[in-house]
Amino acid sequence: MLKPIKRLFTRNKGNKGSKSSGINKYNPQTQLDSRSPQTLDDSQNQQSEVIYGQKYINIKLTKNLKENLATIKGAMNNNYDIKTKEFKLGGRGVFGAVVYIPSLADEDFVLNHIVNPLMIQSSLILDREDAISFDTIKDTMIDAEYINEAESLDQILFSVMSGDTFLSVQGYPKGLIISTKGYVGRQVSEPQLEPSVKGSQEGFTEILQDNIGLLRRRIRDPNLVFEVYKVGQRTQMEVVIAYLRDVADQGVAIETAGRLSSLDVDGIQGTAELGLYITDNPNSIFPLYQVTERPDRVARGLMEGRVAIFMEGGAEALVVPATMPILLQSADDYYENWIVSSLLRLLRYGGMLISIFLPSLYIALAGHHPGMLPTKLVLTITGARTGVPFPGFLEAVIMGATLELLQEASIRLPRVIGQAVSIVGGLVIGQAAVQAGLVGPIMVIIIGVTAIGSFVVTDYSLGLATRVLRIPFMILALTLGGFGLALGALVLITYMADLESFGIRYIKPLSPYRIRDLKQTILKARDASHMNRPAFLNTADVQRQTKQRRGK
Amino acid sequence: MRTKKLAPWQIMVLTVSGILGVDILIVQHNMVSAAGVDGWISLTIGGMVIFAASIPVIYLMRLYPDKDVPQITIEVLGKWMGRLALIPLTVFSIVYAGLSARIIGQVLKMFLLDKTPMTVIVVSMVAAVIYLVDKGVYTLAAVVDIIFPMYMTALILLVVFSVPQANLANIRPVLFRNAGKTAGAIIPGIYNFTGYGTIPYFMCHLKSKKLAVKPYIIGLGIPVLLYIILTVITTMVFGETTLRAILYPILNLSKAIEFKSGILDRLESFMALFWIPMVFASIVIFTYISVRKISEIFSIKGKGKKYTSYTLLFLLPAVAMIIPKDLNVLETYNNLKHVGIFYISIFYPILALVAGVKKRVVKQK
Repeated sequence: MLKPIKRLFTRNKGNKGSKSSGINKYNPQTQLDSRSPQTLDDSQNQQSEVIYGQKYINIKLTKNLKENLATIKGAMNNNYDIKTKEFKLGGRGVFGAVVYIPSLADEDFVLNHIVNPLMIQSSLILDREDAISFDTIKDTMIDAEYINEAESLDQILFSVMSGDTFLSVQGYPKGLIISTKGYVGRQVSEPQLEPSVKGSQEGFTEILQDNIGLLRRRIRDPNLVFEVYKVGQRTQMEVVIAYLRDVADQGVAIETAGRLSSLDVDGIQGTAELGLYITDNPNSIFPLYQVTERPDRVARGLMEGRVAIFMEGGAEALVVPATMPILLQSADDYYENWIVSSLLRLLRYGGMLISIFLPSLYIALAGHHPGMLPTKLVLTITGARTGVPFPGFLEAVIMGATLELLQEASIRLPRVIGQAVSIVGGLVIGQAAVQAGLVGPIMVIIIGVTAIGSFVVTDYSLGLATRVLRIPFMILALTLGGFGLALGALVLITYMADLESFGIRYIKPLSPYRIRDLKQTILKARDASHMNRPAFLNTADVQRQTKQRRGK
Repeated sequence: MRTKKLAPWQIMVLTVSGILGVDILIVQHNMVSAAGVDGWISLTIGGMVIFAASIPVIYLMRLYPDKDVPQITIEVLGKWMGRLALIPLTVFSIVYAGLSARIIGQVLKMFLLDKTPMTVIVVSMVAAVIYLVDKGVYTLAAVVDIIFPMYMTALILLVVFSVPQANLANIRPVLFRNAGKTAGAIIPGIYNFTGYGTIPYFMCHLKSKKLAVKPYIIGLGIPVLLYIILTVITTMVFGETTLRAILYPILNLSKAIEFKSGILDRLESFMALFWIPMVFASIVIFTYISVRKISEIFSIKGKGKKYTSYTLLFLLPAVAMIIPKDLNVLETYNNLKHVGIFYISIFYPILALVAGVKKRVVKQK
């Protein structure tokens, strides 16, 4: 008798061997020793390790087709989206049946390439009065990407729910899992968060295979390996780690695999959410991994010796390790001349500093140290603030909060309305607030420049972090003026210097200084002289190119 | 995951930061008060003496590459003698860090925050210091590494912009009826380099097995050079008489700089912001070495080290605020350095000597 699925799930209580959960167990030593790349196809062929509710392992099929179908459908709670089709095989009253989910499987393929050939070819055999054997069906009648034998219920359930089709034949206590995945998904389209002027216009989609393909098309190297893990007790999502075996730091690859394997959660729905589970420091406001929807950025990351993580259903990839200077790079940096790109990178640092410090600097200067400014500027500021009922700090808080509201509103609303909100917010409210005397025009300028500063930060999460940091710095400026700012900056540097991303310090290569790395990350090295990969990533293969080209 | 080790460059940065501190703000006044316009000559000779004084330090580091000063002391002198010898060093580093916080507090009150209570400045500074010390030696070195170019750039710019105000006549004639005083000021010149002894606390965390002697020597050389240049330039800008009256010549030097198309009216206030990280780095180093010594003296291990640093969160402000009058702070600070450098200058050679003898005896056996 089958028990309800809910009760059949067993939670992983620590490392008690493979018994406890449906996820791969991680052992760094064995991973190191037996690191044969497990391709996606391999993983699909080896789904035996997937445990769909521990107790299903022991439930085996019988020779009775009807009973088997009842068992499978019962285990799936007789859900309406499960489709079974019975048909006659051969001339001796032997029946077969397929089980699949139409929304996940390619139904045309199931009917035209599995059911139809079986019915037609078995009729031919009927003429010859041969008996149909299981092996005949497997070897000669079906043509699919992969066909695997299955005996236990857990294999069958997982495969069907992944979009494959299960074929059961009367008289055999086993069946065939046939590859029929046919998800309906978004086409490859332009990245939404990371547009590029000169670069590729392709972005990842929610379909894992498509994303893998996008990457394979960019790196045609057999050393590009994909390792598959299952994450989520209930969701059983495929998570793929990609790296260049002979380039990446094996330590990072092992660490990534370890973190994924040790996850014990019922389900994760997106790549960015997965990042929060495997991050080094869940309390860090800074992103400790790079989230990107651009295949070219992932490919570049892999070439640098980093590791990428893809997840089924996620239209982004995580690239680890990620340090702050890496997060401040943009895809377009690589499509422009090194001088232009270096200046743009420096501009982004400037933008980040403006985003964090400008309002607080204004508060400190206007409130504590007006004497530091030239007299004319002080008079201008004072004149502009005449009639404003609030102190500088409150003025900054009001405008800062308005800016945050506008940013949040423009993201949440449909794009067309979002633009309208920006116009209403930026022009109308700002102008009205100044005319009403609630805030000074200087403050509107300050907040405007601050917003622009935050927009040049390429990584969205890093941009959010700068927005969060603005508040404590404003309080420090209010209470301790310039000293508070300096002290706050020191504490911030300390905080950042202590962060790690997969064993790499977050501030590398800012410390310890290494000219070669600084040239490649803070600035952009001249492409022809970009001989080696960044040393701080501890890559296995250091050299990027062998010959330095000096132009004509 | 990865071993947390220091790079040779960081040894150089730590050496410079350990020596500079608040001394860079007062060294010119001290030297000119002691030797007149030839203060820079005393300072140059004092700097050379420091290079000689670093020999036993390097010898000790060579003998015990994987140990820091407290561990070496206890190993060489024995448990009780070693602990006893460490006590004065510990008191010195705590008082030095505390008084440094007080002096920078005074500077900030004078140039930046005239109404903020001194206690608030000192306590917030010490809190930031303890936060960093608590993060460990690698983070400490990384932070010092990052802030190093900031204040070095500020110092270099200060020197460059001061040149137009400099008057060569103020420094001449060299050694005119002043040789005696200049010679007498060599010892006060050495006092400004008390931080030279901090590096054996960090060298054992070096990534490479090879001792970073070169970065250490360069690290000693940079402050010597900076002190000399700044003493020369301040003497040339202000002249002997004015310099004797100015407590913080560096800050007054920024005041003397005029930007005709100025963005900033009061450069000295702006520059004061850059001295904060410089002094911060020095206090952090001295606080770290205090924690290390306390931990070894009382055999504190594991989490106990965290509590040791938290204790200093109260102890350092207490030390900083113990002197009620601002004017007496500098005097106490200078006196402390006199005692400190005296102890350090005999401590390291004796330790090196005993360590050498012990090693020879062991070899012979």
